[in-house]
Amino acid sequence: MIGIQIISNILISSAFIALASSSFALIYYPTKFFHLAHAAIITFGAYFVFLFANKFLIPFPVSVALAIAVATIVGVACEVLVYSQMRKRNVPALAYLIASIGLYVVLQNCISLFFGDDTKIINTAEVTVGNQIFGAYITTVQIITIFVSIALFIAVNLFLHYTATGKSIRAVASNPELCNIYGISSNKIILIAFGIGSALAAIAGILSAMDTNMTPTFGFNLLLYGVVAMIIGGVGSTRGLIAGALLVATAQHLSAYYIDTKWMDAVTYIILILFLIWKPLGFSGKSLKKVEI
Amino acid sequence: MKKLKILFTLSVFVFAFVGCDSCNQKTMKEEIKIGVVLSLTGKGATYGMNAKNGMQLAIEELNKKSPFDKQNISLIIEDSKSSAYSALSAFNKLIEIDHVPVAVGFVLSDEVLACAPIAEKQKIILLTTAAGSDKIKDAGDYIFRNRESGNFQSKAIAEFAFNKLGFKEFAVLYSNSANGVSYKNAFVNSIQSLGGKVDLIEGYNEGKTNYKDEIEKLKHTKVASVYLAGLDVELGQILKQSKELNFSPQFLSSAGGISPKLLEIAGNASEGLICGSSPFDTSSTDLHIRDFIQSYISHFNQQPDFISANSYDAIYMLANLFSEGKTTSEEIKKGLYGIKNYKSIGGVTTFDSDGEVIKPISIVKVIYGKFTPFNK
Repeated sequence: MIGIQIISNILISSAFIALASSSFALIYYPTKFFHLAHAAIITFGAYFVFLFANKFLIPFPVSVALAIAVATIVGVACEVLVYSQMRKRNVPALAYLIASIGLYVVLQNCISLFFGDDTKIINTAEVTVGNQIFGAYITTVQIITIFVSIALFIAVNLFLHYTATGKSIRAVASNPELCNIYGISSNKIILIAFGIGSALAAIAGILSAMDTNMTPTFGFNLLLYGVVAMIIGGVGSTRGLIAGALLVATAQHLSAYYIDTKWMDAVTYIILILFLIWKPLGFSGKSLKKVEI
Repeated sequence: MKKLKILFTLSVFVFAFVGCDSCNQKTMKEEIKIGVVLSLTGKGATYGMNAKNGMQLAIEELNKKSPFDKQNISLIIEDSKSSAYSALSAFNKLIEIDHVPVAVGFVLSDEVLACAPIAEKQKIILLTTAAGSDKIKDAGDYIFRNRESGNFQSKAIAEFAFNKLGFKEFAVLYSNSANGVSYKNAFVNSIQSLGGKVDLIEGYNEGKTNYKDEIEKLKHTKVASVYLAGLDVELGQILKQSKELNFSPQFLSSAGGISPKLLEIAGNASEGLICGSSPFDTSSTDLHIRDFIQSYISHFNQQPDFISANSYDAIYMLANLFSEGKTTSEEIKKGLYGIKNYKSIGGVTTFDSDGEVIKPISIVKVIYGKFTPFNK
């Protein structure tokens, strides 16, 4: 029988994965490439909280706001200084992936050089027994994570569907050339997507680091699960993304509990491979609508 | 005229430097290089830094001696980045480029086991000051270890928990590394041979941060005592998350747990943890040990641990061999095998025919956020 604690563990992991996934997807929709340096933005968020709160002794909420701002600037800088320059030169699609890996390595090394490679702690509060909810123990940070993820997820969806900028992001995702013809600057929209996506990534990183501490590479694991959830869920589908996150988290925790914890990652990627073979368009089964000129 | 003046000044400088150098060469002995491979970054960084501090303190003291006793020893330190692959590259570099006769450090068992075949082939001494895996014992003739094997520690803590603390049923959570597996096997064998029961043996992949599923499994066994074998950062997380999940058995751990990083990560959740430890005793009244501790604290602003002490001792042992004129790897090998009852900071040291040392094991417990010898 699945215990209530396992179910709560699945929900907590799903919240982290869904947040990382939606932050990544927001950038992926209009750009159509894997911005893997996003993993470093997740990490930046957490490390800047550590810098501001633990080193400069700035109050924690202010540190969090500052860290999100800095991580957002770094994310936007990736677009302005690297990707937009590459778009101007019309480089092939594969070059973006290579550039993003390069960027990730540079940014991650910066964190290692500046902060060191050892585990850092931002949640210095006394360790206490978690809150008991329906027999499961959940820490306050984990409860906050679940609520923040749900709130941000709803906010992002409302933004994408009911605001002019959000609609523009979806329009650019559908057809950037047509958008340019209609007077929507695809470059500007992509920049906005990078800004919002990076801010969400920083929040995901901060929450994750508050739960299980951080090392300079912790963002990459979180991002990989997020990307898997996005692919499983089906690109462009909000409900699919949630289903993807839930499936990844469920597979991980159940395999850990019933098979062996060493199999967690293997099971995740087996599911991904099965989806890529049998259902390449994910749960939603649809690709992004493309309007042809 | 001006050019002549400059030329004259330059030649005076050059002459002065050349002169000084030749003077020095008369008093200074030939430089002996010791290769050092340490995990200064990554998961084993705390252990690597403690080892580095111990070695540097030893070198500084050796260099302070009077000009007649002074030895010209230098350390060439390479970072293994806590990976066996990088350790191998670093070790190869020390052999091929720096031509060192001996390399010390190697705090992680995986690093020692990766480099051992090269050490054997190239006939270079590999002296680890912290790695615990039992496999190191059979790694080769040129492989030495200046700490007791993890086997003895696991056995000691198993006997302690079974006989002194009265626990009969256990669960084991171990890191899936050479070190973790070795400690786990020894602990399980010891408990079973004592007549106890091990209800669950669960491994985890190195470097994990989320242990909730493992803890949930441990909880279901309802055992009163859990043995942990892994690195400080992992064990710290396990203790923290166990407390958050309201799981508080008597935790026992391998020597990997004895680290300030564990205390930092687990905070008050580390209270009561019992670890098997090397004999290095921070509360010792021995004058030499007190001097070492004082000097270490004044240099690095932190308490030394058994890895710092063993690394400090390793440099002194090598320096003693160098002063006897044993500077090639063959001579050093013979010299190390010949070390019997050497009174060092980290305990009395005797190398056996496998290049292993046997030292008495002590048990420490976290009391008020400090590792305290259990019997005191």
